[in-house]
Amino acid sequence: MQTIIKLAPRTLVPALSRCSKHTLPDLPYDYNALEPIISGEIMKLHHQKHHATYVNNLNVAEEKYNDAKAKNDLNTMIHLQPAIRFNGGGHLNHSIFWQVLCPKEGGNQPSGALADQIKKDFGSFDKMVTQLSNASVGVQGSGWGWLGFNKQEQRLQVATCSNQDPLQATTGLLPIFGIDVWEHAYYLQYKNVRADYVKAIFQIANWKKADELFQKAK
Amino acid sequence: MLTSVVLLAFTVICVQSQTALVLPPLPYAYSALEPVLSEHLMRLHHDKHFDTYTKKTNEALKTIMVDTSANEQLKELAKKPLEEILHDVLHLPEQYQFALRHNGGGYYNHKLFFSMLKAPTATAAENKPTGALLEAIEKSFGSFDKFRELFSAASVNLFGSGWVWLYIDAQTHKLVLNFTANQDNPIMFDKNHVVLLGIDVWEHAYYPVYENRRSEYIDNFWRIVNWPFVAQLYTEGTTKRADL
Repeated sequence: MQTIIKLAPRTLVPALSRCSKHTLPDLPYDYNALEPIISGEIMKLHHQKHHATYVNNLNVAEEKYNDAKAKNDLNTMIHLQPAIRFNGGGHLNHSIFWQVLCPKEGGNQPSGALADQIKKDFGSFDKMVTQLSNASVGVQGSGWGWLGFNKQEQRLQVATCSNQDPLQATTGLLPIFGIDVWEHAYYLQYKNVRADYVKAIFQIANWKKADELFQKAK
Repeated sequence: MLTSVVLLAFTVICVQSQTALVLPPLPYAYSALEPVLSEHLMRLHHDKHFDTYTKKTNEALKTIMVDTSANEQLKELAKKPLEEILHDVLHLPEQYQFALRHNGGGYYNHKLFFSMLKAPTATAAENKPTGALLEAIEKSFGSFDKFRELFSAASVNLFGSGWVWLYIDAQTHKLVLNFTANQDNPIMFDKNHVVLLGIDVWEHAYYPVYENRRSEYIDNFWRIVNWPFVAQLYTEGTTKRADL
């Protein structure tokens, strides 16, 4: 249990910074495009509120960090690191997430190099889906399930991260496909039944994009 | 052969009745906390989430009882009241700890939380503790408003899923604010912490009404805090521990 040593201000007020580095990326599709798997209502909240807040809070934290660095204020720099990790991770994770989802396609499966690698490392696509699903459903509290690429060992792996810890910084794996299992990602539609959401999300997986990420990772 | 079957059935039944937790009903109607927490939200929170923690805790305890590789000490612990199990949960072997910590913690936290709530006052300002509890809060935080400000800030700023707690610290005997991640509870860290007040800041606790607006949920939470119940916990906690 972590003791609250110094409480942060009441909210990290999203302030407009002159040097705003990070911006909220547009979705590659309309808010309703992922229906019926993920409702337009969820997509709007998820993108316009949650992701936008990570971007704003990241900019605020980074600006404070840069100020502290300029003054050689190491204490403040360290104090700000959890906020950068959380909001920066949130921004990274969601930026990838929007890309690896796409409107529902019939018979949606990966092909080419990614399909071959999945078969090699998991035995079959279905086995990978089972492993990734179980891991994602099993995340305690908030976090993400990932299919990641281990560059050293040249193989795909399933991993989970808690909260907004980004996959690469936390595990070294390069993200190929991810599932947000924070409750905000599914609650309004799937309520407490995370397993139904995780099962359904494979119908909107953008395997073409995942293959691109894989080719780049290799 | 029949005797052993009967004996086995008897043992299983005994084990089940010793360890089976029951989902307690809410101490009020599902709609009682409207408009702060809607009936829809309360039904989900109690009938789905709390129920799942109940079932899974029972499963986890049963698993320990029937596991032939689990030692006697562990099986004895599994028969104890949940609160006692949670005192030791962080010391359990990894293969048993995860399920018990998460689900047992979830059961314990929600049972406590729902009892800490009551029908809302019109405003947050008019809902305050009185007597010894108020004095203790003022002594520890300077003023009740300052306490509320700190508790609210901690709740807004908690990253991810977890709880914020007001409790009497086992070592210092002072009232402290702290947070736990996921379904952890202060008693997992020291059995003599006396928990007084908690707020669930998992998204499921507020999303159907407040969506992403956690701070709005927290602002309204103060309207539904059942201070007489919290005061009872304080009295019981300070009486049990003569040195407090």
